[in-house]
Amino acid sequence: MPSPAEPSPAAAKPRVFLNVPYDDSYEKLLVAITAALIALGRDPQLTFQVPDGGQGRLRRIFDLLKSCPVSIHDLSAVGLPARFNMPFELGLACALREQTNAHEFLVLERKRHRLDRSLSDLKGIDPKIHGGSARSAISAILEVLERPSGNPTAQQVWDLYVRLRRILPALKNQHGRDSLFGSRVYGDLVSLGWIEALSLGLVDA
Amino acid sequence: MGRHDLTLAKPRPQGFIRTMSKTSTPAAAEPRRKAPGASHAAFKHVSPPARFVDVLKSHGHTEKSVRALRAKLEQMLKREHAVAG
Repeated sequence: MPSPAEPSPAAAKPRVFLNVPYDDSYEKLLVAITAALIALGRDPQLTFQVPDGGQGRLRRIFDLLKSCPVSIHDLSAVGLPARFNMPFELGLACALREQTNAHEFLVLERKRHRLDRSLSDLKGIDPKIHGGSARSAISAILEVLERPSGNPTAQQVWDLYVRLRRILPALKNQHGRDSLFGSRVYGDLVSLGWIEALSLGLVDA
Repeated sequence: MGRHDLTLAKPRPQGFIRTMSKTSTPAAAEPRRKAPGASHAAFKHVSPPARFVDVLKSHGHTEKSVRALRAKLEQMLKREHAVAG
């Protein structure tokens, strides 16, 4: 199996780097974002697919980010304990965009105007507000990412989302986990999502 | 302009330039730079779909293995449904 962090030309890979809270309360939003990306023919990548520990971890995260022409950063987890990984990785994406001009990033937030206070450096960069709603998260993704052949409808993505939500408890049981936030569980969910998207006619084999 | 305003195509203040690579492209030559004041979230990224087999491979699967997994999960769901029913 190739490493997800393997560096490669971003333009050749429809990968999307996801920088989201690893929190069970975020599960439905992660499934919604994942369903939207799959329906758009994209390959979602999470940093927990990068091996943990060691000084090389930051390099591997950056290599994964560089291999993705687009990244999505949800900065809605602003509570305690403070978690700095998400704004830090957004900073990496900002730097990558500035340096290479070959990277775009989308910022998501739960509440309107909150980012102006929590990360005022980002003024001028409008986040998409999902309000904690899976439907709004799907709409945000569909507004920004496109397929040359035209996008699926929000309802088509929703149908895929419902299928993934239905199968997720069995998938977690299969792995003996109670969380989606593990590389095997998430990797399997993406793979199953592509099979479901095929059966719905959203992607081609 | 604030030193962190990344959306504007203007020369950056000296303090920021010191952190940039010597090989970075001058802002004036960057064709995809947004117009001043434009919202960054307004970008559209168009990409042809990934290849099905490539996505499965990047997550450690083949079509055969993921179809087998799906069949297994469907069986589990049916059993759970039968027990609950």
